[in-house]
Amino acid sequence: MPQFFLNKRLILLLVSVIVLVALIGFSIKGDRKLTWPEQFIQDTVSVFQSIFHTPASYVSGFFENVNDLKNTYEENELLKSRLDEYMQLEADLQEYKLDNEKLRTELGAISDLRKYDPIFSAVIGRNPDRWYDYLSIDKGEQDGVEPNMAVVTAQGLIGKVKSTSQFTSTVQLLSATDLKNRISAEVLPLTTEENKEADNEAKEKVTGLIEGYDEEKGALLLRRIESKVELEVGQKVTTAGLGGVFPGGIMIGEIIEIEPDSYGLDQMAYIKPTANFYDLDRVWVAKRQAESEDPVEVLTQEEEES
Amino acid sequence: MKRFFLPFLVLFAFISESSFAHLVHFTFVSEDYLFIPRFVLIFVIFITVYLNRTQGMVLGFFFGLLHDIVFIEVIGIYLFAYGILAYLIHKAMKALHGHILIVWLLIILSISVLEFYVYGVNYLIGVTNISLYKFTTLRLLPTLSLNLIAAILFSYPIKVYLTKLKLETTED
Repeated sequence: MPQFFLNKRLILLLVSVIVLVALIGFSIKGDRKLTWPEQFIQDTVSVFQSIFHTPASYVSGFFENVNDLKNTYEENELLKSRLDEYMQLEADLQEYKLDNEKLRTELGAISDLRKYDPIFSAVIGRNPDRWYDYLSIDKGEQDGVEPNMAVVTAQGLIGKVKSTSQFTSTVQLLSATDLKNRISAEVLPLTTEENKEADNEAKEKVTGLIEGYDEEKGALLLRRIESKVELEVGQKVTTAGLGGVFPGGIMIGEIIEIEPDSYGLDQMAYIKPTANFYDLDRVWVAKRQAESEDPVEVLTQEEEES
Repeated sequence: MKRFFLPFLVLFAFISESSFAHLVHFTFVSEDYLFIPRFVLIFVIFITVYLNRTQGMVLGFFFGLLHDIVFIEVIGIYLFAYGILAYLIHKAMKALHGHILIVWLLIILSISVLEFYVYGVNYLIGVTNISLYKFTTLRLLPTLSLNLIAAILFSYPIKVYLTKLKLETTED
């Protein structure tokens, strides 16, 4: 027994295992704010990252361009066929926008959950071990980024801000299998010809929660949909903007499969994200204009005042 | 100035890991296969083998901590991994002949140990729930092949540089 305790290396190993477990336990807490040494180190490394990243992205951009050239002809044909459709859509959109604005001014001042200020930022790196799907971007607290904000590309939602330092932030992609990563979403009705003529009053908004990611199917899980609602494959899903600091109306994806949830009380839908999680370069952080208020906090404040 | 060159080299490897993950996509294989760069570990092993144990371990600890803080924000997963692997490599090199093939074999071995360890820890803390079979086919084998190629490409210049550095330090 005394010999056991005299073995210095063994004791060192045991102590380091204890330290390791304690550190992991400390840092795994869900909504932990980064301590200042961590922020400092992240900011310092990000300087080197951005220096290194610029030439590297030029090189990779060159190879991508060569790849793109190969597909140009086919893409061009496809786009030409879509062009007429697009003109019509744009005309419609202008009309709707005007209508919308008119109606809104008549309604008076209500806060719009859809409006947001974009904070444009470049991706400077990605977590090399893909257990955690994190990106680092080059905008931080100083630029107004806060945790839990939505991160968007032109194609749609890609994730949310996980933590921030002064000049960089870490983005958690939607593909991270994290159950705490809940996003309220709504399903848009299909816009086919039959639907247009069908009754307009029955089109209620279908809402659900995005909870988790199915790695095998490469699809997000949309849960908590009422069982009486009829969904169809191909319906588009956007953020609802309810709760948290997410703005509404950001495209998430398309339904590819529907099945009853585990106890048969709710429905569950698989959603194919429209954004590509592999080829990200420029993203923007959506800073919602409408204030978000924590109902509990507001209540306690009101109590204090009265 | 020369003293800082080696840490800078490892820092370069460290940053190239994240840029690699961000920019390099192999179009000829499906996106399900994950090629995870472990350049820092390769460098740490080369330093342990060709320079000395202390530098290898210190750089291992430092860049393990940096990896934890910068990339995954869970401190402790990589913290001791690189350092302990460097120590074990040193022990192994005492018994083995320092031929380059042996070094490559040790690199393969330590990367698989690291991958299994990280998989185990992440499985324990509930970050992942993929099966062992999927882990080996989708992650371990592509990662090992990528890093073996990287190690083979790096090995000659690094070996030349490190042996030169060792000669200089012993002469002083």
